[in-house]
Amino acid sequence: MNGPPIVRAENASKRYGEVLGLNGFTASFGPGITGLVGPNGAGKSTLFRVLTGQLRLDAGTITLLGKETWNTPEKNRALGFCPDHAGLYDWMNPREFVSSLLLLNGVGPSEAAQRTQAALETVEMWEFRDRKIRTFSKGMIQRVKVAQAIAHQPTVLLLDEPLNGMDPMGRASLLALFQKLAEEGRHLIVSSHVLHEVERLTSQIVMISNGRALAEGDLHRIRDLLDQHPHTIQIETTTPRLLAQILSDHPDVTGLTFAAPGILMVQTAQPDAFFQSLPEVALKEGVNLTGVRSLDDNLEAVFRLLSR
Amino acid sequence: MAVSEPRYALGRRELLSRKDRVWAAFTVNLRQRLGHALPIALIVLGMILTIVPFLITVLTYQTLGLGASIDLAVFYDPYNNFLLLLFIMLLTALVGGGIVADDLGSKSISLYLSRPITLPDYLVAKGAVVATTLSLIAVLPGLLGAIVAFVLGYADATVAAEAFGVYLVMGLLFTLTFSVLALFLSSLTEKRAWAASGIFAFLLMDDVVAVVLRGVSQNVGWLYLSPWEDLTAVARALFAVPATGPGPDPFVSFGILLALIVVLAAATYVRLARMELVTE
Repeated sequence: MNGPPIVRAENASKRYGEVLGLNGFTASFGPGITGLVGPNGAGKSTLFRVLTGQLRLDAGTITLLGKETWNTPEKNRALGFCPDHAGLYDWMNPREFVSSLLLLNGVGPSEAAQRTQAALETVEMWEFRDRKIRTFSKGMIQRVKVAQAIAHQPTVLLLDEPLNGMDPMGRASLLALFQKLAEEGRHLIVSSHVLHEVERLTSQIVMISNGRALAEGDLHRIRDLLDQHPHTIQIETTTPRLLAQILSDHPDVTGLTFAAPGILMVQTAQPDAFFQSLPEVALKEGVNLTGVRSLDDNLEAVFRLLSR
Repeated sequence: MAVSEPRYALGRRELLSRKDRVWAAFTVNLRQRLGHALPIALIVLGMILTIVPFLITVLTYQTLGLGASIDLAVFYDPYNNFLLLLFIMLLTALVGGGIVADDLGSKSISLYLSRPITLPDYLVAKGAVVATTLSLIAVLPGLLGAIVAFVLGYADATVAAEAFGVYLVMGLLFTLTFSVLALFLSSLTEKRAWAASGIFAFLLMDDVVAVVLRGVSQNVGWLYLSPWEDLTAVARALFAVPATGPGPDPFVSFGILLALIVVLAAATYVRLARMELVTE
């Protein structure tokens, strides 16, 4: 998806006493789905709280849809926020809860009722509409949180760890929903520390650690930037020792490890060249390859490298 | 679980005004606070125990030969009732204790502030919930008394209208003072029980300490420490109750109450605006 960035951050810093929430965070991202990836304490929730106008930056600037984030509550009409904490009125049922929050968003009562039903049906919670939230499982609560975030049809959705506590089926369903929302033209910023989830959702990534953006852009472009770092490739073969002997002279190989019976781990700084040459080498030397997998072609590996 | 495709479409619609959004926040919170048996029971009991003695005073005024028509000073009677103070303290603690603390504890304050709701909007809605609840026992009995006295012909129209007006003014001062106090103390913690205990202990001890110190030192200046004593001093002046001894100057008391309201409201705002919790 092309277009101007949804979020622009320039040297954004936010301090909590001695703790740095954001530390010169600089990045531009969106439109479409952006994955905000980082470990716990990286600054993801701080960034969301700044974007929703709950926190004021100590230094730098952040704009959302071209508007300053602080002291501009009207811009929040275009925002849907799914916080990472429970934060629900659990004495209410989902219908009352979503409907009440729609009123806070400025939606009229009759329209709020319709939108509440639509949002709860979207996350498959309509059948539980009259049950108190306090009786729900964590996964059901997550779905109610997503419902309140999408009910007012926001342009931008900020989803802070939206898949926490979801079962695998629920995760897959919500990921599909997020894709649909993006196809409708909404912009989603989804944070997670579970990297493969984000990877399944988008290749547009902002990697954050210690309040700084470590990298941003297409995951594969980020990966290209890291070519000077060794990639790990897992090769399954019936003759790992023979293959190791052959590859020890390979110009692109920087390290070899026997990880398990029948599995050879190869470190290379030139994965593309190595992948191209590997079939030829195997064929020439008569080595039987049963599986080849790049362990580094996922967010976890990229993040590990960037964090070093 | 299967998730269906959204059925709605992007579009611009007419949105409610800021006033309506604050009203929505108010009604949601009022429902929450009054959605239990205890506050309802407290309000009903408080109303009965403050209205009934006052109505008895009104209805027996002529019978006791105290005068042909009730004068304005008689309408001060509800403020002489210790039960009024007790129930105001209990209700302020019960309703006001969790008014902000609950949202801080559950972090649901994010759900307000990530919407087109400002912090002042939020505080106004929250304060209005406490004020509305308190007014049921701090204002309503007096207003009913004035109406009953007028309807039964025990008070002439001028006196009844004056009493009605003074009750409204005093009600505003009462509810503002206690609501702002509750908001401030509730914003200091994430635990409703602590906030409620703090509110009750503060209101009770403050008044007890002020009265004891005044008794020991014979200096009425100590009474300015107690919002309740300040409120009753203003009420006595407005209802033209004859002085029976030295007491707080109503103008000084009024000034203290106004200052208290402004300072506590500002402190609550600053406290919440500056409160930044690391949530990760």
